Amino acid sequence: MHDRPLFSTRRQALSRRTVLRGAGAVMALPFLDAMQPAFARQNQGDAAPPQRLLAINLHLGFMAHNFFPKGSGKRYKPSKYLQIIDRYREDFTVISGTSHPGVGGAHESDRCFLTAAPGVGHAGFRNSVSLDQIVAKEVQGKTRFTHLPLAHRQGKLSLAWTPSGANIPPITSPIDLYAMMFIAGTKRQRAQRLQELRDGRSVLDAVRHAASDLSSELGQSDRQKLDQYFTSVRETERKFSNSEGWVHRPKPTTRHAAPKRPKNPAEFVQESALMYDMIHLALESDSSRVITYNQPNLHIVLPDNRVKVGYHALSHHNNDAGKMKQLEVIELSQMQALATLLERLTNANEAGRRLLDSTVLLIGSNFGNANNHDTRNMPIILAGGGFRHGQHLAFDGNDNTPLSNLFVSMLHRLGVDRSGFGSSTGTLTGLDAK
Amino acid sequence: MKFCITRSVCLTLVLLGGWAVAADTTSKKSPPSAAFPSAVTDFIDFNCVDCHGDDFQKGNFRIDTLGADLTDAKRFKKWVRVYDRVAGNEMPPAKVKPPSAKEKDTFLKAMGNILARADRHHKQVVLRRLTRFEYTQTIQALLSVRMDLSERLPDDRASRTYDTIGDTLTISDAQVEAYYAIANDAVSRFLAQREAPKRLRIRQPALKLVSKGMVYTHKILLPLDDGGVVVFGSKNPRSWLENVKVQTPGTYRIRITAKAYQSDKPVTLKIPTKSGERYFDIPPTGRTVEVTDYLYPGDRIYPQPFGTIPNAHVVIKRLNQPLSAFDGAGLYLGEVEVEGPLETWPTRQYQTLLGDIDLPKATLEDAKRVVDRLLPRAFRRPSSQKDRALIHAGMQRIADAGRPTEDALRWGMAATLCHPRFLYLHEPAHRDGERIDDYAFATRLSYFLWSSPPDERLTTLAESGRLREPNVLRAEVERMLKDAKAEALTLNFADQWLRLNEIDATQPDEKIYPEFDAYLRSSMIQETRLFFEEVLRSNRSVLEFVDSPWLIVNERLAKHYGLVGVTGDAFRKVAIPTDHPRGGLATQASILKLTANGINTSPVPRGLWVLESLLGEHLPPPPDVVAAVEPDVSGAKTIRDQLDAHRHTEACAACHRKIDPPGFALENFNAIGGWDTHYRPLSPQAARKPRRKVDAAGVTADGIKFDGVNEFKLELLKQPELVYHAVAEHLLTYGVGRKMSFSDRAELRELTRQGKANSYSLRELVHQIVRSDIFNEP
Repeated sequence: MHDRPLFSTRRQALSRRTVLRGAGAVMALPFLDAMQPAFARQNQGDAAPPQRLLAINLHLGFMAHNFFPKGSGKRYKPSKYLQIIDRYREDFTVISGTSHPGVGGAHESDRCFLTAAPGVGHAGFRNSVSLDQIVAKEVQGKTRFTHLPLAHRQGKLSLAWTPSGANIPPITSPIDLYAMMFIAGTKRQRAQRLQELRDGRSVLDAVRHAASDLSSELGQSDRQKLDQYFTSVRETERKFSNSEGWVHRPKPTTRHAAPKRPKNPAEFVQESALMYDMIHLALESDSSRVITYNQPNLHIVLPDNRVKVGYHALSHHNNDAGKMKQLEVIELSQMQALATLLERLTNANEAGRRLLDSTVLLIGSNFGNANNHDTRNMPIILAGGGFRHGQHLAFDGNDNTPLSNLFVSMLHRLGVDRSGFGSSTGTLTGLDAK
Repeated sequence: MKFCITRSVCLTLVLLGGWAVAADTTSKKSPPSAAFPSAVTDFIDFNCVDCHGDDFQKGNFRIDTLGADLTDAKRFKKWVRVYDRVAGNEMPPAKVKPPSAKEKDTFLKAMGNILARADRHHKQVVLRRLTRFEYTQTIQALLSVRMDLSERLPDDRASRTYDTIGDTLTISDAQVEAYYAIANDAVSRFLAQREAPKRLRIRQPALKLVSKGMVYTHKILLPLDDGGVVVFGSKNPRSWLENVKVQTPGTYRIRITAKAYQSDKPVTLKIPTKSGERYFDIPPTGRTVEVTDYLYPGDRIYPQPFGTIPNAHVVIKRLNQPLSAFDGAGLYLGEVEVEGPLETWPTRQYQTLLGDIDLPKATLEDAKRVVDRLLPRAFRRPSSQKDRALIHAGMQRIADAGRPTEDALRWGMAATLCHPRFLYLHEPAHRDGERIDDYAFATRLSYFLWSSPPDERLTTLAESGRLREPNVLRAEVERMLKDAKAEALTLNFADQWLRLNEIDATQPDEKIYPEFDAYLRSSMIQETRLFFEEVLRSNRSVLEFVDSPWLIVNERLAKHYGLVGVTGDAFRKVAIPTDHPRGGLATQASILKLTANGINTSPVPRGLWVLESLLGEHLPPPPDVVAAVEPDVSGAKTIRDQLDAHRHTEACAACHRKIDPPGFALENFNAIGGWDTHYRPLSPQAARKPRRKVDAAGVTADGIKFDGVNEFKLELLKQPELVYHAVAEHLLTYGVGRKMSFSDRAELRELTRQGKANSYSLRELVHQIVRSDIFNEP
């Protein structure tokens, strides 16, 4: 998955190096025409555009009165925030009255955004597999990055969780991500990388054997625990061997220059937008078909003269008009960034079809109301993916429908044959494919 | 926070209170299971089935079909709950005819035996991997390589539990990949120890060390004739020591002579370090301060003023004047000394593993020898022929491919560090079958007190089978507690026990709490850690966690607490005046801050903290989907008014009559732990109204009235065994790596009984724990 060099003494060093390499590539490729077609598909000759999943969680969410529209069905009246993306009205569905049953846990609820595992925040909680990982399993090896778990720079956790409930550490630098996708190393670097991967595989092979040996000394429950190790080692071996294959294949090229960090590190919406740009490139170049992005709880004060207080502190506005006004500035700019992403995905063409049509895009928040840590009535937008959109699906605000129902509908659309996910009771009523 | 509105467990308690008994109690009901003896089934038939049977399932609970197969964990838990309800006189409810004391006793005894027997089967410590914290410490102990892995391995800590609990420690392919990459990095850094470190020894006036550009081009730092530099701004002061270039990772000593400039009051100097920011109050007469920090190549030493005007140079530029014309307070930096790495070279670890081998000339046999030395240290027990052969074979393949010996060595060491016997704490049984073996015990002991692998001495004692001899064990525990590595018990155990790791979960609102700053925050954490260490080190009673006549504070905290006579940044033990509300843990600013949301306070999280941390209560989780109370910013209602409504709802009251009182007692302490007699306004419109007075009175769950925190503490102190039991349970859970369960209850009670004879000393508790069966069992 992560095509990072295996040996880096410190992460900062890696970033600096990749920045330099990034700059070099941009200078070398300024006149190249549009994006080169993706490699994987060429080889495998899939005729239909692949189905992709993109899920975005904005931890602190949106103020409900500004987010949810008036009226339901096709004739809903867009809210203040939805106004911003109203020009894509036919490309998305806004969903109210859904949540994950049993998922509270205040700020820890973001761990369950894509897993729906109940009981977070309680002693002994263990997470379960996330939606994206189920899809990733289906498309394993088809792209250079089977999945891309992304997060804002301050995010420690991605939205991606393994079946054993371990978080997959996020990639937080758009600059690194760009380098991973587009910057080809030298011949020597590639040879070195191959050796790293092969040594890695032989180490893993050895310790896997050691695990079978140890297993014979263990009781039943310990053996189950060691099985997790065994499986993880085998998965990693597979990943390494998959990466070996990709080392030989050229990386796609792009006209897009390497990203630069916003000058002011407090520009967190800009930073997220930068990641959205990279996501667009990743989808367009078919570098990955499963992408998640987590914008965590941020305490940063947005550099905007209308905003004086940190984002998190504003989220606890306590219905204070002044604070809500400031929070609105942030939330509006979050919506603007999402509008730009939608614009990119509707403009990008792939075999005569818009990229958005082959991408199931989920945008939402683990909080329905961050002010009082309420996890019910999550703000949810579902875009693209060939669903029949242009509507507001309004479920009961007091007796929420499980968000997992939507996840099951999404899985079906993505060609994953599963009858249930998390706390689902079926598919989401009112959501149909075109 | 959440308030309890519906929850089946609550309901079981509450609804039955109002339930009248049906006349006929004997017919038609089947026994819960044929496998239970009649002492159990008779009691259940007669006392429970009417409300929890075929006809009624009060609180959504039915007992007669529950089943007796206790290998099922969920069912087992339900029976434990049945036992606890009966033992706690909560069931059968007060309104029905109670069973006689004898009937009840017979039932509890029989049921208790059944449950304990069943529990012994499934309470085993689960094979667990090293936590991130332990892994980091272990790499350091093995290879003398310190790494910051916070971005490379997942954080194993979750709130309200311990990261050492094996059941919740998972592993993934991403993590295996990370282990492999980290192993390679660690081996590279270890092998680099063959070269003598490039030591740094600098003694220069600050002007020579700070950035010339910041002094002469940007004119942000003011140069003085004596070679000193004055820094005014506290926001991005750019006063890092640009010309101190660290080349070898290691511990460095940094000494700085500083003075408050243009100020008759002290100016605070801040130095960020890997273990947190350090603050020093620098008087106008000057002072030399010293810190040690672990530095990597490229790290900056960055002394800076704290609490001065943020952007002095901007202000002065606007006035079109030179920086020297600025007359505000600043920080003068004089002579700076930097020395390091302080570690001896060659390191003990390098000597042990590679001391007699010259790597460039080493043969494959040499490399295998190195790995053979590493294996038992990494596995914390002797390695087997099989394990050695597996790794040797891999090394051989590298050599056979014509690659250098060093590649083979790297491969062998990396494989060792990815090996399941390294990553997992394997605890095979002793030949007596009752206890874990001596190596496993040494390992458990070592990770309990040090979060590190056993050292040579512990390993030798394990090898000779003497470690568990009472005198030897006592001496070893004493030695370990005196060792610097015992800091891990504070940083890892105490931080999780007291939930200090959650202190930054919320940021106090600057408008409501203008007095809060990073210095205060850092002092809060320091206070609580030092307090824990003092109780442990000085053989103090765990009751001092509830209330103590002393505190460990610096000037910043003393001011915050309204204590006089403490000056300077140094922490020291001070006596607390009798009527003062501080003393113990719950009134420390750190705890009060982490149990508030940065804006206002609520008795609920604070009450929960007291119940869980100090009294060892295990409250069932609240229903997740119940919305929390939104604070009333208009100022018309206090949180107590809002909570009262909940407390009058029967379903909520069952839990909240326990949770809320300790929180009410702490209500005078605001969201940053300061003492307020009146609530602060949360909004401008509230500021126009008169402030509401804080009411810190309440009634305990047992019906005892109290007014204020001191009266409440007295109530807690009446139950010393509860506090001791709670701390014992927390320590054992952390040390053994599993939750305490039904069959551990008897020994925990016994530990508590013995604790009384030791005046409830924390240090004695540690001795008791390592001797206990619970700590010694697989």
